[in-house]
Amino acid sequence: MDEKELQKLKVCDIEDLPGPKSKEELEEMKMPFEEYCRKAFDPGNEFLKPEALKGIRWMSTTMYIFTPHSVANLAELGAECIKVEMPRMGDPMRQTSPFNEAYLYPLHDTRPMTGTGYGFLNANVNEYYITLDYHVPESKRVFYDLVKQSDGLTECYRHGTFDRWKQGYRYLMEMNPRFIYVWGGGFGYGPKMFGGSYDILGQAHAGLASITGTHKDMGGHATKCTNWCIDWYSGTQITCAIMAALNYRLKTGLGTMIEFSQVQAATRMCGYTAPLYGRFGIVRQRWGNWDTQLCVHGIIMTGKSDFPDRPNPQEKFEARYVMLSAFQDADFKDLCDIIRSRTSSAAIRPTRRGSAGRPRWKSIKPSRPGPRTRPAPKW
Amino acid sequence: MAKEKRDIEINSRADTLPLMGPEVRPWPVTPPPTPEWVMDNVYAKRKAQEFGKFLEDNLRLDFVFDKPEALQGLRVMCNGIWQISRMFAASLLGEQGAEVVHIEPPGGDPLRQLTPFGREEYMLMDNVAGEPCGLDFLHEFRNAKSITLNLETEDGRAIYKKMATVFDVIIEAWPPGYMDSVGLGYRHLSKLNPRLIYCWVGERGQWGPMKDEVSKHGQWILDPFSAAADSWIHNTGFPQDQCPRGKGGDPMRSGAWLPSYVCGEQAAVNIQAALYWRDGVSGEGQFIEVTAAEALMDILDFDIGWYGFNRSIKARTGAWDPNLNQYEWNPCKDGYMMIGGQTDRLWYRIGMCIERELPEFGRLIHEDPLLKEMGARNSLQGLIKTYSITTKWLRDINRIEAEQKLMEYEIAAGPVLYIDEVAEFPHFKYRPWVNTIETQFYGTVMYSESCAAFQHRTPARVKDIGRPLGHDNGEVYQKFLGIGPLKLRELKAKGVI
Amino acid sequence: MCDIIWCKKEVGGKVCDTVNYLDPYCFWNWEGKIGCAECGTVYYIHMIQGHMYRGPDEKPGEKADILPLFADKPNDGYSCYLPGIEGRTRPFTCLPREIYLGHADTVKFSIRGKPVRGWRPQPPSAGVAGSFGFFWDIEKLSPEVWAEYQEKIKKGEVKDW
Ligand SMILES: [Zn+2]
Repeated sequence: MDEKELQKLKVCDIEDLPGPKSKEELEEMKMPFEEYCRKAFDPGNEFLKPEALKGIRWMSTTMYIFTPHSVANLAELGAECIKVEMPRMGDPMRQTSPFNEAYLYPLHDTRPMTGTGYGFLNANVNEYYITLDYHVPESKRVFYDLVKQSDGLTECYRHGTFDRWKQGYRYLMEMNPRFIYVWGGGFGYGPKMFGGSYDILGQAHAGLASITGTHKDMGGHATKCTNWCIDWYSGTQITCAIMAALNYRLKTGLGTMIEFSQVQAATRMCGYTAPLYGRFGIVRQRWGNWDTQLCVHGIIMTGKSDFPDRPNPQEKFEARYVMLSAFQDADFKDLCDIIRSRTSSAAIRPTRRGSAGRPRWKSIKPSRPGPRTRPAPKW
Repeated sequence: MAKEKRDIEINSRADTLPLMGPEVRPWPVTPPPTPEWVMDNVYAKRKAQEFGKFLEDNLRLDFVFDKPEALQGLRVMCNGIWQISRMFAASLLGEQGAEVVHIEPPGGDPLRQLTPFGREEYMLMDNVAGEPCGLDFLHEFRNAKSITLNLETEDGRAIYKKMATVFDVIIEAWPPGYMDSVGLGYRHLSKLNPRLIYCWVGERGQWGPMKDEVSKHGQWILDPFSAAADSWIHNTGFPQDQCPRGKGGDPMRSGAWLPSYVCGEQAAVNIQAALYWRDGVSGEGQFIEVTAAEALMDILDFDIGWYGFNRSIKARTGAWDPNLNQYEWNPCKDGYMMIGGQTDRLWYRIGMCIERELPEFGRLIHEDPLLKEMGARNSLQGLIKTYSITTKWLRDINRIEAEQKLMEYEIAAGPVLYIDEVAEFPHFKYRPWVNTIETQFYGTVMYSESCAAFQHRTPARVKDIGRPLGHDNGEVYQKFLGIGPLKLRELKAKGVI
Repeated sequence: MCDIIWCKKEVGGKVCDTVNYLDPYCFWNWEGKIGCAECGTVYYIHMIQGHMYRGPDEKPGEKADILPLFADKPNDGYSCYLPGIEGRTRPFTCLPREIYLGHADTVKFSIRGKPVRGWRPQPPSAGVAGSFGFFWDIEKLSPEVWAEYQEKIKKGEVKDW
């Protein structure tokens, strides 16, 4: 076989094939895992790396946290995002600040005596801010032009409002078939289509509030999960749906309309709540800081604060709760031993009965007859 | 529906179980409204019949199986135990059409054994081996296949390596460095499959001073360690000013495994962004790490900025919100009623609704000059004033009455509902959000519908829920590695799968 | 009267005329004696599910168990007692800082010592609803803050955490 024939048989270069090709790469394989992670993720040098969504342009005709966050996620991944607000009014979050105490005063603010509340800041990062009043006829062309140049839009107006203004999906898809149109709100089509929504409405309506907080019998009330977390969490789920749509468009060139209901998203995270009710009719209650499926695994109050001398009451009085977890047999036994060594009472014993309620995942027996044991998982 | 009377003797809890299944207590108890009713009573009232019809015709859940899947062709391997975040990430991809395979050790994921208060009677048996499966695991095991693989054996590792070459995505949730220590980390697998997208999920990270650890006996740290690590739990719950400490006035975890869900969705977003970059730009995969703690920190509102501003540490505020007025739930006659409306337009509408029945609200709230400014209403005294009088109105009425009254004023308001009420809420069962599915192995299961299921072109969908451990060993190993039944037996005998 | 106690007690020839607010979570189910923020009159109340089951009954000479968080006088220009005024209102103990303001805080420097535009008002050149370029040039537009900042740098009060 001559050299020419040999070359013909080649389908690739050895350089392109997997396997370490240099001393550097060999070193990489040998380095301790933590060091490798530090090198791979290289914190502080994010700007030296490419952005996944570079070139995507997204319009954000949104307010509050839920829908803005769906766009901010894209912006963090490198998309060019344009936040459209009403002239002179702006996103109501600009007037939102904890106990009315913390405002920043950027120069472009339209209410110089009010400032921008901290509520606005995190949900709208990396974006361009423009104003546009859809009620003014001249704004239509501006809006349509933006749509033609963009990949998608997230809006949060009452369902049908954009459609009435002739800037809903039905109109825009005909101007830009690649357009991905997202409506985010509380409920979506159906009997409660025009119901408004907020983070806590989602928590309340969806059943999340009914399983969070201390039980009534122990003096507690249904408790709000903090930090508008359902707004943020649902916003990220929108981004997740947008990403799927973007990947589909990569293959087909077609956009879509996503109708996303945040109340539903809050139900989605409630785990066994729905299947337990559906099969057994059991209505899940709130159990405070207990985990209903792992014991011991919860938050307990200690006798002392870590920072008794700090002036801030949050440090002075509240730095006294710990997350305690000892649900596997050996850990549970250790915990009991520790407690016993600190107390004179001999009442605490790691007996089977003492640990009732813990899932017996190591010793569980199949309910059908016949000997059948399962090796305990290593971890 | 049968209205026949039966005599039943209940001597123990066991006697009640057959009385509660979906066969005897079907869902929904009352039928949802019909589309015609909704058209006439909802859409028509706002002159939105045409738009409503467009939505119904294009987005209804009934049509999902007539439409393509967004992530069709994407192969996802989900490897790990304990962490539900990995399963949620896999579900989100699986619901969008990815082919998901869950790898568990031959002993199975201990999550399969978790059940509330350790009650085995609330686990579901599969119809193949009769193995009980916990409901959290079941609910999050969506559109996926189950295989077993023992990564502690040489053969098992070799098989895993081969699998990694034919998959697009690996979601991994083992303790930090474990997969790497057995030569199956990203740095090893990416050499075999440079297009591989590899995502590790966990509580606090796989490197750094606070990284995830296992106890000396091998117990993992699990949800909500992440929420404890970043002030999320610290600022959830009632202040001791509203509820005594020890009786509800303490920092509080979420009842749901919220941090894990936040982590899982963030992982799914990042995996899909990496996929977009791979398929659209570079052709390269990448290494991703998502921790629940950092995913939560990303959504802590302004807590970090506020601390930098003037050393404020956000405190818990119970069912109120220190940033918004009105925006809370307060107790009412039969539970709790949530009311929200912050801008002047909405805030005064709430007030008008209440004032109609409680003139005092107008006198004390509307007429107060301090409360006329939106920002000023957020002050603590603004909240105390507004909510004291709002509750005075609420205590005389039920949730449904309050909702109806506030709806007349187009206020975002809703009752705090329990799951039985959620499942029967007309809007929820109309779409439906809480849905039932006849699964292949576990009978009819009620579940929360995929949130991305309402789409024009590529809706997400749930096709099956739950899988007996290792049920798909035969199919998956044959399909991806050409391992036939005889070889499979051999591997099983050697403890490899 | 229920979720408020509108005190009409005559003290020194003048009607107290103060509204004491009974915040819903604390008082939803509560029994005890509460003092009026203005005149100190002690009332016994027993609330069940937000309703006044008994009271408010005056309990002269007895000590109050609790004070309201907030009270105001709508007929006297809405003058009020904020939370935590000694002897009048009880403090709200679960606060984000030791100081409660209830109005915009004017902060020139972040806790790291970096300039932050958290103060107001804007300079007169801002007009009623002024609009500027994107960048706030502290040196030119707030020279006094710039000078203070230079001092801080010299004293080493500017930190990177
Ligand atoms: Zn008085």
